[in-house]
Amino acid sequence: MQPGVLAIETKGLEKQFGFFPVLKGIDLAVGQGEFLTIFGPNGAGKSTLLSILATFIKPGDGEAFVAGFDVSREKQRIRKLIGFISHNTMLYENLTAWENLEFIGAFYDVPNLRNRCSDVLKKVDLYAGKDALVSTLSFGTRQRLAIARTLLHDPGILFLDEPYSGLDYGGAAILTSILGSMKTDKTVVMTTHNVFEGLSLCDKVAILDHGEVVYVSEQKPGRDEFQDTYMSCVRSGDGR
Amino acid sequence: MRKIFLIFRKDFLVEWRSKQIFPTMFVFSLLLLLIFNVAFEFRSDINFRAVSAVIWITFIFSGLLALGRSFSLEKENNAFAFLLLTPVSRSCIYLGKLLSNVVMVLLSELFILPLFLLFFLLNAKGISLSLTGEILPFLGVVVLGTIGFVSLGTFFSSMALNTKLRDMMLPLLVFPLIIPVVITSVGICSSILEGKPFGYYAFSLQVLVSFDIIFILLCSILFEYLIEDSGD
Repeated sequence: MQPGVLAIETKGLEKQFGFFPVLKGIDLAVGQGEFLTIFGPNGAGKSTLLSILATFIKPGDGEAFVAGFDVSREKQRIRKLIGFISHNTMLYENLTAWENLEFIGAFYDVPNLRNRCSDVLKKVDLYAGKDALVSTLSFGTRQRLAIARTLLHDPGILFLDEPYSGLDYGGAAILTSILGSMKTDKTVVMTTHNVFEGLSLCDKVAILDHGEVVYVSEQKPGRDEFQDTYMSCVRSGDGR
Repeated sequence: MRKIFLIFRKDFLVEWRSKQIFPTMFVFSLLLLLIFNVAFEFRSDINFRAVSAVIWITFIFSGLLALGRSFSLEKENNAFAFLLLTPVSRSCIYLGKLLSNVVMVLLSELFILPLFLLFFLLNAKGISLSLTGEILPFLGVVVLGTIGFVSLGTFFSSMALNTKLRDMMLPLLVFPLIIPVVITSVGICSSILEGKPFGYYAFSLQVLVSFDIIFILLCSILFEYLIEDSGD
């Protein structure tokens, strides 16, 4: 990523599915190395926003840039730079943990792929289970494997879509520790509706409700103070 | 090319472990051939055109089972979405899926052909099966025809992936478009079984090869748009 370029920038970003507007003019800016948590209730448009930024789906009106590249026109460049972790692990159930990593790693042209697979599996403490079929793994273990897969090509920008969803306390603690270790050198945008986990690592926060950004704070707010803000924004629909 | 092979290898590994497609295709084909054989009253004097139609109908019906499964396996756990997130070209994904589908369908056909021989050709009147005269040209047409209908089937199977009625949609989308391939393949197979010289069906063979090339090129180009637009 070029120095000085915003890691993520959206200007008046809109998206609708059929006649139903999901995003209504989103303006966001995330600098390099920042950790933004986007809060919002179910159906607020968080996942749609991340899906557009991760080039899964096409944006509607407005503009969106990732590492300075346009999400509509420079998808392949963006795909090389980003990683995506979702509550849906998106793993092949009939492949082993190792085969999942080798398969995806090859598409990123990861140099010394076998060594890299070993490294990332050790990082998420899964190396001993590398030959286990994904279908035999618990949800928490699958999520760790999904993180390992995302780290394979060492992406500079990470999109985390409700990564804590479905994880037990232990799994959530491991995920927080892994994300904490990556925080120093990566730009992270995470969506969640869990205030406790969402605030633990972030540098800045935004609240999305009914497809609109209703609150942005450039600094990490205190938990109690933010909880009140969150509840009032979501209930009253500030900014709409 | 390596990435196309990786998709092929992954699909094969998944099928090898799940064993969902092959047994289903084989049993389905066996039943179809049995029904046709009974319907023709086990006669040994049946028309070669009808016999050729029987084998191609069997290939296509059982092949559609494999094609339907091909992308629905990807849909499980949404693994296909992650593949789309990688910087691999969409045409490469299509060609990888095409290669794995063609090989899987051809392998199943390899098991179907001896049954076809047993049910329809062994006692047929007026047929002489020699390796170079009939068997190899027949197998060649089977490969070319299979590439033709699987190339379209792979494309439409990805299109039907996001529809609620995907199992019903696939035949509705594929059947009308594979008619030229089926007619040409049945015609050539029938000519081969009748013992006609190569020159008799050479033009049809060229047409079949042209269909294959056009379908593969067109589908690999359009697949890019089909997949990119899937989020809309």
